[in-house]
Amino acid sequence: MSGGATPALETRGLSAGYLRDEPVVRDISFTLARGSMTALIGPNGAGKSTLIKAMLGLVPFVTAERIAFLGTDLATARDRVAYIPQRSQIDWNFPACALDIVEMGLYPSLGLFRRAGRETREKARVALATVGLADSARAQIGALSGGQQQRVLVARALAQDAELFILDEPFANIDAFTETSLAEVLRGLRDRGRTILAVHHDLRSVRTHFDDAILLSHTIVAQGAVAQVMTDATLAQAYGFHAEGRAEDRAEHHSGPRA
Amino acid sequence: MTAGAIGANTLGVLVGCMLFGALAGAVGTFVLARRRALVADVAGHAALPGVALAFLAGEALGLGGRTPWLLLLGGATTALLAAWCVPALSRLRRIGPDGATAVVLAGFFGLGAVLFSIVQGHPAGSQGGLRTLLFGSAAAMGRAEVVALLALATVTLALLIVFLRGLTVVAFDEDFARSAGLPVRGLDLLLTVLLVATVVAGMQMAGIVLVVAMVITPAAAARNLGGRIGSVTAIAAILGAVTAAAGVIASRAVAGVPTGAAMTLAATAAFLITVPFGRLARGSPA
Repeated sequence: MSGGATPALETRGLSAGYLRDEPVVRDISFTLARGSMTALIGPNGAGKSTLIKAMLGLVPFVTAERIAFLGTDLATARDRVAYIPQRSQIDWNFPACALDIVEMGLYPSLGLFRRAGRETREKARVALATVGLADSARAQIGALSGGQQQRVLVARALAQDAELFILDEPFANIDAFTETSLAEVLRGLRDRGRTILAVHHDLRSVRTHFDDAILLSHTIVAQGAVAQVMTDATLAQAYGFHAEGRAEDRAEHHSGPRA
Repeated sequence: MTAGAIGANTLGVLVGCMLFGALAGAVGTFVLARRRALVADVAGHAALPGVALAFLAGEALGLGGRTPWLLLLGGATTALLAAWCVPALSRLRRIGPDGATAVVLAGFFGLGAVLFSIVQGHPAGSQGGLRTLLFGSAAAMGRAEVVALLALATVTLALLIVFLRGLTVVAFDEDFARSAGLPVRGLDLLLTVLLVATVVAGMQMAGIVLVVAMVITPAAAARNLGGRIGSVTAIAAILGAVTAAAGVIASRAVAGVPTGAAMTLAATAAFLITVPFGRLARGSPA
């Protein structure tokens, strides 16, 4: 194991895109300390998903001075890094039950052929119970609600027992109950020293769910504690003309009862 | 048709076609799950130029144009080449997978049609039976073909079981599979090879135009019934075997009906019957 001083995730000078010489994100450098919980925010098309996929080697054209997971390269750290894609990019009509999907979280450590033992299977059941879906283990995934599907994906990452969780829009299109319980699960992970990085689109709830933020608009506009990152000036820079409205919306929200 | 009319030859044909139907249904389940249904169509159509080239090569080499293993090898080679071309062209991004599929399918089939006109001008190829190759005929199936099909089905089943986990996770969530370090390209190649082998094995019976129906339609019907990947694969294999048998019997009963067309109609009927189950299971849209 690497020492506690090693950052959970470190990226320096990363540029990436889907076409040669047309990077979507440019010159990205940031470091996530262990046990931190960070939102990756920015307008539509800012390159949020591209950035996390690029770090995970899922984007065709990536250049970087350094991408380090838990102080080493991805190939070495793979079973300690959990990736949760956007729910919408998955075929939910796939013939499988919830437990089948959660067991996939065991594959990074099992590889292609090693059989899952009773102990690992039990991990999958516990993970499903942690997100409140113990009773739906044998339910067809297509019959689950959007919020339940999202929780199945989180359970898959929990079963993997990773140290770094990278999530793409975990709170998109889910019910309020799921949002609350999911945020609770993620905070529980952080409290146990796990590191969370999540693409997040709803500016109003960044402060509620996260400690830190990275504001992205093809390049990094601001990074640090949420309050420092989400200022009128930085949001205006990232969101352009619409920023005024959004910033006011945010200000209103935070002076409101929930803030 | 009475039981007495089913002679040894018909029984052999029936067994062979059912083996092919089961094989196609099982492979088709994974092809459909990976959203590669049209690659089955591409592979079928793209076998035509390979078969024609193999015929011409066989004549030129003095092996005879109708050397079975050479025809299969030729068909498999161009089918595999075409199946590889689709993702390669799709990566250009300005075309997209659907455009790439259409371009490759039409290009290979056009080439095949031209080569086949040369074959039919050839003295040994005049009774070559393009119609048979296009729409299928199970008439000429012998013992050797049945044994070869049994071997292919056994090997395929073993590979599907060994690689079940990899094939499943790649089909369900490709990005997760990549991030988990699974060899996505290798698994896709495996599935493509199994698909091409199935298509080429079935092209004599089902015909190169309609062989896609036997790969995809029973699998689609099984998907309508729900379940998990293992049970869906088993049901698709059973539906494939049953509809293939129904096709053979129908084409024997009604003179002049191509086997592939009859099999396709039987599979389509099975699909239509399962549609209401799919609607029931989904309930509300996800």
